Amino acid sequence: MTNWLAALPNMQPYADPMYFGYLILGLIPIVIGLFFGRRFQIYEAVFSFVFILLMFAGPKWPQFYALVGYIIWQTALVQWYQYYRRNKDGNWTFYIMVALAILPLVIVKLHPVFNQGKASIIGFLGISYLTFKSVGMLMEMRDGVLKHAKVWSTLRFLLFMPTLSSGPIDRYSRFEKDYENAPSRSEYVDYVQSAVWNIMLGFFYKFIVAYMIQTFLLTRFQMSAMAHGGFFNLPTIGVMYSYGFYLFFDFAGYSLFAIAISKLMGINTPINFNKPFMAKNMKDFWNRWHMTLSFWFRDYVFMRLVLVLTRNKVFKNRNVTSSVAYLVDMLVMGFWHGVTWWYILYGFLHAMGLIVNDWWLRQKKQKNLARKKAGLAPLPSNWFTQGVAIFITFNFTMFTFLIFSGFLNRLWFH
Amino acid sequence: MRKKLWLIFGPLLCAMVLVVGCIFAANTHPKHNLLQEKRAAVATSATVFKSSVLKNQALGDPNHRFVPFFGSSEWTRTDSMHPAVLADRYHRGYRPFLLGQKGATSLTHYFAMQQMLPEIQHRQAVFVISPQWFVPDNKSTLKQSFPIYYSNAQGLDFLKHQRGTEVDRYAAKRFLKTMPSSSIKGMMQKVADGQPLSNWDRKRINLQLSMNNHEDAFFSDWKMSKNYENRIVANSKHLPKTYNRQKLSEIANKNATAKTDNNDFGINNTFYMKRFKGNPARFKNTQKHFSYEQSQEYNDFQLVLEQFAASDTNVMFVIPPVNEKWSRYTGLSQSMYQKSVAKMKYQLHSQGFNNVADLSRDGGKKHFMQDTIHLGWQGWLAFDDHVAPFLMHKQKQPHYQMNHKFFDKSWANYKPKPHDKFTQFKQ
Repeated sequence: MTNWLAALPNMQPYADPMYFGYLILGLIPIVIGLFFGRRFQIYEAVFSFVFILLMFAGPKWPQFYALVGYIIWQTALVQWYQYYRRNKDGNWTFYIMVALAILPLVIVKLHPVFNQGKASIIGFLGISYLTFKSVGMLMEMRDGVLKHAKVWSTLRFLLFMPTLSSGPIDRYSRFEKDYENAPSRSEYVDYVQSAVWNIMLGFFYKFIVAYMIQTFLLTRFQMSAMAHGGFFNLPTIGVMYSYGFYLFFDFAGYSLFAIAISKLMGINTPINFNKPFMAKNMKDFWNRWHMTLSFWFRDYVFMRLVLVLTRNKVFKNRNVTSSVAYLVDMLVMGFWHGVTWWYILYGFLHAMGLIVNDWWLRQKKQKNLARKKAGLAPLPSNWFTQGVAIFITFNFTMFTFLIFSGFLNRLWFH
Repeated sequence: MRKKLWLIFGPLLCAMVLVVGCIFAANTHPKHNLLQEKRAAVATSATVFKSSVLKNQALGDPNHRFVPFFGSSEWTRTDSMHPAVLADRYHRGYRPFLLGQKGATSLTHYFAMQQMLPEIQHRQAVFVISPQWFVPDNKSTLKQSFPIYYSNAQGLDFLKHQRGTEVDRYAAKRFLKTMPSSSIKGMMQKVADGQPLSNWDRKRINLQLSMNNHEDAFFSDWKMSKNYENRIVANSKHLPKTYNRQKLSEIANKNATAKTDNNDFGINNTFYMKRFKGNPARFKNTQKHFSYEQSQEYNDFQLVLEQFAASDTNVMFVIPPVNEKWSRYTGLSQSMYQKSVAKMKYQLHSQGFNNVADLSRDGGKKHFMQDTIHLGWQGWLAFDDHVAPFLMHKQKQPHYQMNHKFFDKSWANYKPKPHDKFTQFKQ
């Protein structure tokens, strides 16, 4: 098995135009089937299996075994908890189950910190996104929303090929509904239309814009910034903006591919980006940037934390409660990106951004209330104030992306 | 429904037919065109460096002899004595084809050579080794600069020609370190691990290479730089009609004096203003700890030498100096510099590369440098004194004895001593 796997060509999802050629070829039967309202489940399973296999073939073969082990672990946890939840609802059981579900991810993230940057053998491409999905299932089960997830359905949700490696992160119930009901023909043709558009737009984003930014701006600014050295210099500002745009076009392009391929398979995977650089404030930003991740954190970390803190009356002031929840939420997100100072600082800065944003909105509300009482018009809100808001938000997020890029680490310590 | 499907796929089909048609219509072996070749030869652009079509068109021209000049940032120091200017003026039967820009190093050149193997086979070449390439590994900017001059066709040509030798494995390993997320990393990994490529891999290489070359042919003559007209001809037309070394030296001094009069370092005025804003003080003593003695570049340099040996290329190596006044100011150690040069020269001579023009002690000569580390007026003339006879007169084909110890970490990390005999690296 290992020799055979190691000899296969490795194909990274959406990495080059060739990949799309193979992918479209494999998708033809699925597309024809769905056009006639039929879902070929067995063919889809084989198709997904082959492409997942190729993702981890060649020199990456150890990751394939890691994936298999991980899937068995998560499926067992989810199934056992579902069985348990039928009759009982213990707090601690739930906490332990969540802890066990994130344990592999925690090991993978911590391993390099204590082993000179060497990656853990249980890690594989996509482990964090799979963890979001399975923990999401546990949460839905706890809430009593999800009761009948079969092993087969769990597997196909976790291993849904188009979004396996980097999202967008779907929710089980939503996914299952799409899967069980093949779309009607007119609906499906709309899916195909959107898929074609998204693939083309994704090509433009990832293979043209992101590529050009990287070759003509980012690498040049990086070189020049490293040559200048010191604590901070002008080219580093160039690195900041070009990296921010590179990150967006690269990742948004990737997300468009994943959404398009999902749609060709009749699954309406949620979108990940919605003009993030037009955000008016930090809250707005997180409703537009890596949306499925931020919604996941909002629903499963932030909201739940607020609920627990409020229920146990930990803080008197509810603004303190939400600020603490923001801080925890964003720090967890920072740690999730990787245990390095720049990811954690990135999370911290975003938490501060959200807290200040909240405070500002409260101030504005109070001011406007007072003005209303005094018979005055509310504070001005027009194209100019909105433009300033967008400008400030944009520059702040760009600065956080400079931190996120880890470039400062190279500039300062290497 | 049919109309709707046509509206979805119709534009896509049309676009695909158009793109594929245009690209495959491009001729990968364009006719020889001297003006185009002259322009490519002095363009010093990443586009030309990466294009196998342009390199092959010029270097393979049976009627005009273009010689590859490998190097880096010095090629853009075009003044009246630049090798391309002299060759243009004095019809020497050769024209330099300038390869390399700022940030190019041995690894860059090794992969670029893979696209022009027939053009260097049994021929001559010039190679300028900049000691500045040999920085300690933690200061290396190869990860940033390599991709600028790398095209996938280089990697594919490498994969096509490699035979799984120790040299190939070293090259593949270095490639993977430098370009860890390249689309051909799977095949590179196989070469690095000493495994053979499958038939499937070979087919993929040929197919992709043919696509790449057609694309290359399609895009290569877009926006060709006019350096040839603007820099080379503009300079060469002011030189005397017949070659006269004495006269050229006088002109060089006259030009250099006029162009270096805003500072005491003999540095070109524009460079001085641009780089130092007229105030070099923040550079004082900043290069005290610079070292070119230990670097992985020594191993990478061996890669280039192995290619020259395998291709039976007769190469003149040129080692430039640094501007002496400037290096005194910045505290760059001359003894370190000389020990590094000695290490490079040992690597060359001990393997039979005996055409070495060592200019490394001439950085104090008047008007020798154009700026801090790049040859200028008198320096270019000295360069020409070595290179022109080498290329114009028939040379004996050298016999190389390659020594794979130069691929070892111990060689890269070896700290040369004064008057070192490097005995432990003897074959």
